[in-house]
Amino acid sequence: MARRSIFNRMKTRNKIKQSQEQQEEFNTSITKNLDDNLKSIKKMLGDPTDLVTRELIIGGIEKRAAIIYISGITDEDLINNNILKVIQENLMQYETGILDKIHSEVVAVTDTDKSNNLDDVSLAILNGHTAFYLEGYEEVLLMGTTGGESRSIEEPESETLVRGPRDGFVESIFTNMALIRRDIRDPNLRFKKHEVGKRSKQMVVVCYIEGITNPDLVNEINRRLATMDIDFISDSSFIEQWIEDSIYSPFPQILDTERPDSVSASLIQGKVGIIVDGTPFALIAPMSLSDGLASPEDYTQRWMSASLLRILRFLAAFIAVFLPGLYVAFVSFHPGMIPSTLAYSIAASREGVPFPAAVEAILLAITFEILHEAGVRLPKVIGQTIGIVGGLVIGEAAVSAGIVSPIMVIVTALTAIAAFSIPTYSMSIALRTFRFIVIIASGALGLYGLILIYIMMNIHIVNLKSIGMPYSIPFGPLFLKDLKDVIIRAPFTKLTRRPKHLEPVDDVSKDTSIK
Amino acid sequence: MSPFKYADESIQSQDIMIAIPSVAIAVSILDLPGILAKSVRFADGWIAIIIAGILAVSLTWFVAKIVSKFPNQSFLSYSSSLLSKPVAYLLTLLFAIQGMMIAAYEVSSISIISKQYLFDTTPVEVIGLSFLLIVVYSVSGSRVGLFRLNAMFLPLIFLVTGLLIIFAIGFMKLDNVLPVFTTGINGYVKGTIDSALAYAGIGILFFYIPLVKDINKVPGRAAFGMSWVVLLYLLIYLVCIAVFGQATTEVIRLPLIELAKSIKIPGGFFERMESLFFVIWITSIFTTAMMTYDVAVMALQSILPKLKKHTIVFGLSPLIYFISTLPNNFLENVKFEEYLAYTTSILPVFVVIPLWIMYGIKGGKNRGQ
Amino acid sequence: MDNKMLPIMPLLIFFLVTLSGCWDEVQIEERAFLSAVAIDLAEDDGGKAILELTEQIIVPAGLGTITEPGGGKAYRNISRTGEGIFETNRDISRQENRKMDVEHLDLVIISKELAEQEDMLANVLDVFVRQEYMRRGIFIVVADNKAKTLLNVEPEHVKIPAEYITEIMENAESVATMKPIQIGDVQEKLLINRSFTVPLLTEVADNSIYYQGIAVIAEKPNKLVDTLTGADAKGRQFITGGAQDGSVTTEVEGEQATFEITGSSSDYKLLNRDKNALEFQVDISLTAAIREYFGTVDFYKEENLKIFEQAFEKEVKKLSEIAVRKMKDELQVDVLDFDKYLRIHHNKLWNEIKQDWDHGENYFSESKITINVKGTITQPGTSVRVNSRGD
Repeated sequence: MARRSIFNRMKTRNKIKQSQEQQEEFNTSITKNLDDNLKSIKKMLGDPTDLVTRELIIGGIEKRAAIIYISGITDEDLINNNILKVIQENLMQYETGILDKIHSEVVAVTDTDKSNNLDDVSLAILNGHTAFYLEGYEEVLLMGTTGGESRSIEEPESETLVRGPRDGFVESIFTNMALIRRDIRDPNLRFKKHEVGKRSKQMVVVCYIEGITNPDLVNEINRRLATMDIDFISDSSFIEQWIEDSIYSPFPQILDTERPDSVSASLIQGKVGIIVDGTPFALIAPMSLSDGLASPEDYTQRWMSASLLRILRFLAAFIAVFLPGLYVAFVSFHPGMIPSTLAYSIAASREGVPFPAAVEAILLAITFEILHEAGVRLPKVIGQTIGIVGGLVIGEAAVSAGIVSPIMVIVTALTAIAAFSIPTYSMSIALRTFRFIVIIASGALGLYGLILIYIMMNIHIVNLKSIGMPYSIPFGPLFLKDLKDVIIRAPFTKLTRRPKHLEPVDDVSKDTSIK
Repeated sequence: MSPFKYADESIQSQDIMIAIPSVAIAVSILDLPGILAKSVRFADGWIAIIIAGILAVSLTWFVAKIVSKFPNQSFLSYSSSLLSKPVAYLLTLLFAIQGMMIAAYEVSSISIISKQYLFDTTPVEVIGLSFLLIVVYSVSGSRVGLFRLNAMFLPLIFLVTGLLIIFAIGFMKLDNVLPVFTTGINGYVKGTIDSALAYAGIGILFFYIPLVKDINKVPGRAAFGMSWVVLLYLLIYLVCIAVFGQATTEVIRLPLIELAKSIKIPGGFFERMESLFFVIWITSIFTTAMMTYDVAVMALQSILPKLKKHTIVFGLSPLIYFISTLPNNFLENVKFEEYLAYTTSILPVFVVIPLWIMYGIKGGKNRGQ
Repeated sequence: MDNKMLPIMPLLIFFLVTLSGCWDEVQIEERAFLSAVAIDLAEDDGGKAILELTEQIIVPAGLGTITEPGGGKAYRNISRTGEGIFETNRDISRQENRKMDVEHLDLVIISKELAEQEDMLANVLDVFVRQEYMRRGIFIVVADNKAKTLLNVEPEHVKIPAEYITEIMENAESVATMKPIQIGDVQEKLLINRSFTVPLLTEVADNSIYYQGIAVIAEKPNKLVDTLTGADAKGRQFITGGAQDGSVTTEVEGEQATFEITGSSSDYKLLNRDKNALEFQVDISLTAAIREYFGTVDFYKEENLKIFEQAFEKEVKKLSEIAVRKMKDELQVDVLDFDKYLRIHHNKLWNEIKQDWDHGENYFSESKITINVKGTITQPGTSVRVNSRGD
């Protein structure tokens, strides 16, 4: 109860603050008043939590000054030794023209600049520069201190690309935030902090771009995060499963990714990212079924090949769910649909197999799932043996022992490959689960059972929501214009509008008037 | 609760545009060419389809227009304001019964046709029951979900039928279509009535249009949606005649399935496509059953506002199942269809005319804003 | 139970219902695939005709796979006699341990003897049209002798006789043959009461079948009235514009020359409206290539090419007129598509005369048919001549 009241208070406070922010206009030029200046810059950047403001009083002249930078993307050693320290040591002697002297004589940083414009200042800060404000001056000193510590950033293991950025998220939330900031240098990029975990008190950051993302969406996610009541979250999946809309569904309703570029691209589209301290997996919400079949690779390849790949993935998803069921229906119910020659050779190859096709399909599918699970759990070095064992067990021994027919092995293998080609792992698992239901239904009622299950899946999907957004979007409700970045990937010159189904505040993603 | 405007229970005019063909296209897509070929000669049925189509499209427009004047009101409330309360209750009850009947008819046709084309020994009761259960599952979900389902299945129907037509091009014989204009007036009249019966489903508009947000666009879009059906029927009819000839089409019970049976798909990956095509057409029959079931539920809900939606949905299902098992064979099923086709075409006409008249008399006074 | 779980109820029942029985599940290896049916007349005891039904059932194990060719026969033929096809089929299934499956049936062979019985053809074909599991693409063939002997012909390279026969029909390259006719086409002809033709096959050796010609099925009396071979069949194909493949041999200035037909079409014209003496004009236009020539005339010269064309046209006209004589005067059965022409282009006239077109009054036999042929030689071959004999 106590926690809830704190959250409630936080919520109301945030609300008040937000409404104030929306009402107040901040000054875009630098004034002589230090407090005003600091307020303006904070307002412009939305007072992010990683913004460091160090106020100091310069001894000799008793003047107030401030150093502002964003931690995580700056080299703090450099700031401490070459800026803070030297200023404090040397500033006793000067009285007039102090800012010029600091600029030209004191600071031991190579890249320095002066500005009297808040836009330049904020951009510089977002780039990792440090701003030095001095009371009584209408200029700000900008010093290049880009840097910052982070665990070595590696290529994400769960989502590899042939072409595209190679960096992946790490466990440190500040590094992760910095990775996103490096992609989007927009002053409207917002990081909203939450504290989750009753005992662990982990930091969870909701990031979005103000002016693009639908504010209702952000509020809803913030509201749901505030309801989190759990001791410890070891991964973002805890949050995913806490805030998702339906717990009675095998489908993932919030997308997880290890790639900063995926998050950035989604933010630009008007979605919301959730970064959790201590895990390299960020969340993207809302998601639709088709998002689970999209890959960042789609945007790095030429649009025609990317479009073909997308269609191929839709086909693969279909195969992963329905192929064994189709095979069972054909073989046990509708042999007339198989071309005569193939039908005869299937009949010949099944001669002596003791089980009906449906049982055979389920047996093989379970064997495959076990092999897959074993392969994932084993250390990489031993993992390879699983491949050999599986290949021998399924491919050779089972067939020659007459337990399964060779064609069933082909069908299962094809299904497995298709399931692996789905870029989102959680989606792939969900589809593999449905495969069993499809096999059972086709084994009982043939193609008729299969189509009923297909209809049933569709009913489930249209009733599913992701943070209030229908899962079946943009197919139903139909958003015709959004389909050009779903079924195919239109050329970038044609993708000038953000997806309409996300109801972005500003839907033009490219300013065509500026060339 | 939901951050997105489209995520609540209200629907868009384009949803109505999609729902109209989803409801209209049902079993008639399979048997219309055969029925038409009985009364008109050679390919002349296209005239009957178009005349009936124009009638259906204009009826759709008139219904949509009058209903769109009463946004956010249930059928019961605006009809009782125009036609008096007892009449309104009676009409609502009639629509509820009609919705149930159509749903039951679809279930019964599915079981009889599937039994013939897909099964040998599986009991008809099981085929019908499994279909009805899926329909119940869909209706017990959210109402907007139904419209989303329409949006997902309708393209599939058009795509598959379009593919069938493309594959059939190689099997068409121009000789079968010629000569033109050899039918007598009687034939055209009979054909027009026959094909008019295939444009069912206008009745749903009385119930769904008040839920629409951009209600001003509805009449045009609903009529536009109906015109897709005209186009589809026209194409199917011409293709069937061109492939089989009138004489054969006349004696084939479900020409579209026979058409799927005759074509060969290049590459020979599948033989005998009719089962595959048929199961995909099941989705179109499914959407009809689902929407009419839902209309019945809506109508009953407005009469009995105290009952929960789920209670009505689950309460109706045994009744619908029972009705669906009444026609035992194909002939009884066809009789059922004829009876239903007449009532579904006539009821909207008999409701929309008094509505317009009373609206004209009462004018803007009772405008339900 | 909360509201969200409620919709799952129907699904649970769904699975209970479907799992309670798999009524129609018959595994593919438990089916006996029927690939061809041969129907003979067993005996004719005056009243009811007794049929002999022979069914060819595939033995999949005999077919083997690509890597392991199967041993032994890939089919077995079973014969029974009975009064109706369906009944006899069920009788045959008593000899078969597997469930009969007609979905891959693609050939029906009817003996000439049976087809010559009135209305018999329509009766036996009925079962194939009516049953929804049958394809509409089943080929219909008439066998010159016993139908069931054709199903025993086993060539060296094809394991299933039925497959061999269908391939013969699909790949025939002779003017005296016709496009294969399917059961759907036959149904249409029977429904609109028209005469039609069916391929005629005969067995020439233990391992070979010969595409002999065309069988003519008259509308009334509904039976096989005659078979066309040689000139009759060729002429018919020219008139109907169906001579797509095949060749014509004639003499050009005393030397034999063979032309291969590369394209053929025909155009019908009705010259008057007097139904008792209709006058038709048929314009046949053909394109051909010279394939064989024993003479020495240089056909690269235009005036010489004309000679070839004229000789070709004359030969085609001769063949066509033989066919017209045969159909119109001798058989008095219209399988030359004049009925189709009238139906499409002179529908009113057709409605008046269709009841008595090629039977009864038989307007067809009273009509007059003139034939014009236009031949074009497109490819004279690659060389002028092979020898210079006579120079």
